[in-house]
Amino acid sequence: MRKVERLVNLIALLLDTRRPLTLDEVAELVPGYEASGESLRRMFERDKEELRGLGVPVDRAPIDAWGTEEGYFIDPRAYGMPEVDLAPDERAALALAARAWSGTGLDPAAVSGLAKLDLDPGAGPQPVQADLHGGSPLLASLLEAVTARKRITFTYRPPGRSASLRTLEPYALVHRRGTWYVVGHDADRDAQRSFRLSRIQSDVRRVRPGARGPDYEIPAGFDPGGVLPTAGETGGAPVALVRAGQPAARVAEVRGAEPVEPVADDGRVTLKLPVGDGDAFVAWAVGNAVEVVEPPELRAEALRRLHALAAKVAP
Amino acid sequence: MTPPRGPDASAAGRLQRLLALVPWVMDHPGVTVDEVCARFSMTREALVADLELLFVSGVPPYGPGDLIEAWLDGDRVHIGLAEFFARAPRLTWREAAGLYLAGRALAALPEIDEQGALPRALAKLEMVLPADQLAQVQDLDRKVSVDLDGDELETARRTALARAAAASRRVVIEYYTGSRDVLTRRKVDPWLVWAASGHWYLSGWCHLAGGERLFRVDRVVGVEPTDEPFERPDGFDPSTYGDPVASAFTDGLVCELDLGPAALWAADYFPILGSERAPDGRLRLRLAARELGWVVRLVLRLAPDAEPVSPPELRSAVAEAVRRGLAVYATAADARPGR
Repeated sequence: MRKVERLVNLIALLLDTRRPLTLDEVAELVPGYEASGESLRRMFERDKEELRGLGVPVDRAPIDAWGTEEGYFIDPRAYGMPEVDLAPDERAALALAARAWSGTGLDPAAVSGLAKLDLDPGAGPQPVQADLHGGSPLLASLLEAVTARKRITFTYRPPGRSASLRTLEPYALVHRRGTWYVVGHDADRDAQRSFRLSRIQSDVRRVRPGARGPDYEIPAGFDPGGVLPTAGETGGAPVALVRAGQPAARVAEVRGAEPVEPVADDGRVTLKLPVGDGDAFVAWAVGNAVEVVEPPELRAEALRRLHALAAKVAP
Repeated sequence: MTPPRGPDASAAGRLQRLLALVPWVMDHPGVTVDEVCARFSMTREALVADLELLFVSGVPPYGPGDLIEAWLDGDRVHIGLAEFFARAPRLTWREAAGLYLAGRALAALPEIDEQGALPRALAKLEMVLPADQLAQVQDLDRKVSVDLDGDELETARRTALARAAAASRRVVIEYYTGSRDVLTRRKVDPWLVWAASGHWYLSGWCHLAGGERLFRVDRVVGVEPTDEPFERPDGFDPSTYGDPVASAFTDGLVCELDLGPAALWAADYFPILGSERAPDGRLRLRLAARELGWVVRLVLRLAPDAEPVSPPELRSAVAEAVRRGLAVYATAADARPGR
């Protein structure tokens, strides 16, 4: 852990110094910079980059009136987390958000984020808990690409097909039903597409890694919220009539079905309910021994599926 | 989606933790080893190693008075002479973005919004983020859409359960067990309402079963609040509630199904043991299930694009379920094959 010691001393020195320090001064004062010349410079640049990633800004300023040589320092005001005046319930709520982002596996980065705001990860009972898998490196690189509008490539495996290399201009990230999708313009298909993160099988690489500025514009009026259906949308659905056993009927009732007749002699309940997605509706009916009465085409489809499955499992 | 960690990532993680730990300990004089370890999710050994590292760190010329004071005083953690580390570093862009995006997604839930604390906290967070970082995070917020609410038809029941969990009050629920097709009424101590794999769950003590039980919120058909308080067990840790879907498929009866094109989504949707492509293009799926009834229902829902292959009792159970499914049509003329 020599590197951690070197970086701790480097940050302490650059925060504590009254004037910018040249690289040679830094190397002389901080144990661990044994290199010299170009390799010292490279080592210091890597360290600076690492600190930047941790939110530690290393500044440069000329050290003489002629500006021939530059020195380094850390401005304590730019470095330090400002005081946030949070009430206990606000602290608990932010801790909940931090945990929802990082999930149950608290990595050091997430823990330090909580500590910077003095949020207690074990704060009292909360209404809910969620896990957005925010610690995933894949999600992190996609968030960066979406922010900077960088064209990317990755290997993608659609269900039931083989993997291939895709090129995408990512517009947005969408989380639905516990799953992340990246949505954007698919350069190979020349069309808008969404990709499930769990089917991305490689790192995400930038097409033009060195380029400055964005690679593309996001079309005006693009709305990430409208790209993928939210759960439970029924979309102007027709109404079906079904007969179900009482337990299944109760579940259907809380999902919007209405009983239309008193309970029949055989204990079944006749219900009217919105169909929504016809395919999912028939799957629900077949899976729960629910009889589709109307409409006739969905009744026929339910029977077709049952007969086809019966033929497959016939002894 | 566990991040792979190289040696560099762990060094960066340790440094990040140190920079947050030093000011936190200095802000909480007299804090104990256990409190620090709990707050930073670290072991006592890791804390001692961090203190030893700090003890030899400081500013030149690294004499007495230049080095950081860092040691254990009995069970108490002492850190001093580190004024340059009096404040933690600002949030990184990634920390700020994660906190803000998750906060906005949670604040969209009625049970969180009605408490008011999260919207207030996010507004205060906006005020302390540097202007460029705030602009970036808000730009990202417009490009990221998170829907935690899910199925709006279950929002009211989840909200009722979440309120009871936050207030530590018992509830009486009516619950549908799909694999047995039965409804039961149970009194439950709602310990935790949580989302995983696209579903909402309730974990708690079930007074009917006399044990801890897991319920899917979309199968809770009724919620009656009560005034009865309850207490969570000692050491109750919400972070141990992971993904029930993942664990439900790792043990139990191993079943094989052949999936046709229209059913292939199931191979992605459920954690499976494995799959291989058959010469006819179908996908042979192996999965483990604790209840045969669950697999039978899956086959029916995927009908006729999933065919049970093994074990034999799965085939016969599906055949029996198909007979029952057809029997509900039996009184009608169109129920006979060949129509």
